[in-house]
Amino acid sequence: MELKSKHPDRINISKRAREIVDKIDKAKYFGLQDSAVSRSELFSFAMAVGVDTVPTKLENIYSGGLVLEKSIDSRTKALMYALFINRLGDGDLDEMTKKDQVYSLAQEYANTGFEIMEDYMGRKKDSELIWELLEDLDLQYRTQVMQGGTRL
Amino acid sequence: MRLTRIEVENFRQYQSLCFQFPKTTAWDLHIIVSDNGVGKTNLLNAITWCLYEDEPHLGDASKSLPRINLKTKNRALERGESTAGIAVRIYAEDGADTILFAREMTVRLDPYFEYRSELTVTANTTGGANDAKVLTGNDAAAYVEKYMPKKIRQYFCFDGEQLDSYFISDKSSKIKESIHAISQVDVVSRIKDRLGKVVMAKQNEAGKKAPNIRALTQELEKARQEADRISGTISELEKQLAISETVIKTNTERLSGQENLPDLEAKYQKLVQQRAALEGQREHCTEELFAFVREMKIALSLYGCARRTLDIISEKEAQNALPPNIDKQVLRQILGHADGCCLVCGQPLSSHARGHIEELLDKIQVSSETSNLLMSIRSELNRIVETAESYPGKKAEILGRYKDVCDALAECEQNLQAVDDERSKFDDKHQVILWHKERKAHEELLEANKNKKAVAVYQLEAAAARQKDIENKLSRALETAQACARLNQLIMFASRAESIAAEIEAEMMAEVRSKMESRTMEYFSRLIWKKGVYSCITLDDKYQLDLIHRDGYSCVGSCSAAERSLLALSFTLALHEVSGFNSLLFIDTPVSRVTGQNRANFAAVLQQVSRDKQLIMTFTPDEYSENINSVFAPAASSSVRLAMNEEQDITTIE
Repeated sequence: MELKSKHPDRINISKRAREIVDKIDKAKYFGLQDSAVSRSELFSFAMAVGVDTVPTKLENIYSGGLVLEKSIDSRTKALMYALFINRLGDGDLDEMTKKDQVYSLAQEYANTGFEIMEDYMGRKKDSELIWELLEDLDLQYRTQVMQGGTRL
Repeated sequence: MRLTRIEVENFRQYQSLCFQFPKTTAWDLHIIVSDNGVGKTNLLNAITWCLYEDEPHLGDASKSLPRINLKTKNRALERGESTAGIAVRIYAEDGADTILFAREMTVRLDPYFEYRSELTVTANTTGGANDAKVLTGNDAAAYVEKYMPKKIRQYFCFDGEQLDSYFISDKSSKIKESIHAISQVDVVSRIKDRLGKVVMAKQNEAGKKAPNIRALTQELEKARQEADRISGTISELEKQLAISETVIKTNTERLSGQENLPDLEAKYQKLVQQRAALEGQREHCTEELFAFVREMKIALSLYGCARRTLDIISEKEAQNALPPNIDKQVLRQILGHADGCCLVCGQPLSSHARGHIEELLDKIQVSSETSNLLMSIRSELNRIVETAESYPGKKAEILGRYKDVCDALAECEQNLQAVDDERSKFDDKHQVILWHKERKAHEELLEANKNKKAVAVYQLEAAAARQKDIENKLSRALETAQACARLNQLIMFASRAESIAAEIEAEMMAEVRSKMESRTMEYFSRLIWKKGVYSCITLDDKYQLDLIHRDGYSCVGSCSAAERSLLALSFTLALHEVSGFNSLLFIDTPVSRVTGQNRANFAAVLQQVSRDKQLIMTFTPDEYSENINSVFAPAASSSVRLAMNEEQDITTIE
């Protein structure tokens, strides 16, 4: 069941994503475990990993959520709004005041990101992954920064 | 010693008179007769003044006439002279020696006062004038003391009128002292006293010198024990040194060819530690790299979103599309209000105002909430964009560090492997290491023990020096002890001598006292007319004379004045005889208080005395009675009579 609220009080993830988070914590994969980085940063990372994919709607939402509203750092929040604005295109910018939609879109991208991270974990060690990611970053830099960025 | 002549010039009533005392008979007896006041006692005073600058026979010196002869003084004043001279010269002989005792004095006449007199002694000990020696001052006084000691002058120059108080006025201690001096027992006493002082001085010296040999011996023993202890320590250290040297030598032989194992081990351990450190660094760099990748993944993946959002914000700002301070929603509410009044001020909304609000609504594209949201995310998005744009630089920096650490770690691993390969050549590394450890421990022990030995050797040298010092002290102390032994012998000898001197003194005193007792009694028995009344004379330890009555009573206190005079004379005569003191006897008015048979006895006794001793006596004409004259006149070597001149101020010899 999808929980929708105009004023969501947390960032939600699916139960499956929650299981992936637990795996990450357990494996300390990529230094993303709970003891090393905040959940807000983990969410941003997942969002970043999934941003180039098709967002996946959350099903079977984990009731405890991932990050409470008060614990969402300003960067994560800014990125969530930026992602929403970017998706909004030429639409009414006042749509961004619909917080539940903003959060929902971010959660969907992150949800895909968690799936991809699970795939990483299944495929490669983080020490190997890092080089792969660096190559991706190089590419992203060239395409995003050097060419002024592309609309998703 | 006897007197040969006395010259008196300007001394009291004597202006210039010369008394001659030649010995022309078998008796050295000289008689001077004069009335009272003519100058008998002043002749005695002239003698004592000459010899001692003293006139003990004056009644009261403070109330006497000037010493200068008054006639001489007056004539000198008449002549206008301011000073005059007084002189007394006593000529004496002692065997072949001739001695002149001369005292001269100058007096100021007006006002009258006396200058200091001066005694001159001219002694011709061989009879030749060329050998005469002239003594003055203390030397002259000492010469007088030699023949007529001042202390005992009353035993050779005394006033007969005072004889009765002889034993009353005189102190017994003075008698004893005098007897000591006359009998020359005091020589022995002085020897005894001197020996006593010597004993005391030497005892003090011995006390100062007396070394504490026992303390020094104990000190030496301690020093020796200390030296032995240090020697023992050195010996023990040398044993330890020998053991260490043996172990070092043995292990060096064992480790021949395996010397570098400890170095390898140390190097290996160091490399292991280095590797651990580098691994830590690599882990840190990895974490740093992960963090970098995470951050960059977020920044670069969402860079486009952030960039475009910022562009939108900038665009809206440029278009003034963001509401400044009034909300777009409020403007719509105002326009849609039913009563056509302003929601802010409540006034009816004019068509102009309505038109202005519609214009504002067209211009403002987003709501205030949207505007606020955009503003709130703007700075974070800027940072994200900046982070993304810094990717290449940060990547190079972080990867550079990571690579450096990985290279260092690889090199460390390589070195470690090389060292490990080297170590693996040793068969029994554990045993070799033990040998090395043992050798190193003994090398350290050897060094420490060498230092300890050096200190101990220094201490031993100091202890030896101290021991030597104490030995020297002890040696000197023993030498001093020997000196002290000699000193003690000297002390013992001096003590013994002092004791003997004391015994001699006591014997002499006892002998003198015994002889004095017997000879005084003999003279006294011959002098007094009473025969058999007195049994003996005793002298106690203090030479206090007592006359014992035949019934055993002490009776000197009840004797008559004449008897006391005769007793004093007897005592004096006995003293001269017993002591052997060779001096004249000058007696002024010897029988003033003696009468009758006693006078005859006196004359007989003194005549006999004058055979061996010069006897000068002065008499008043009354004293020189028939019973005296009949005895003395035939025997006297000289006899003169004094008289006064017509003016009664000058004594002359008739």
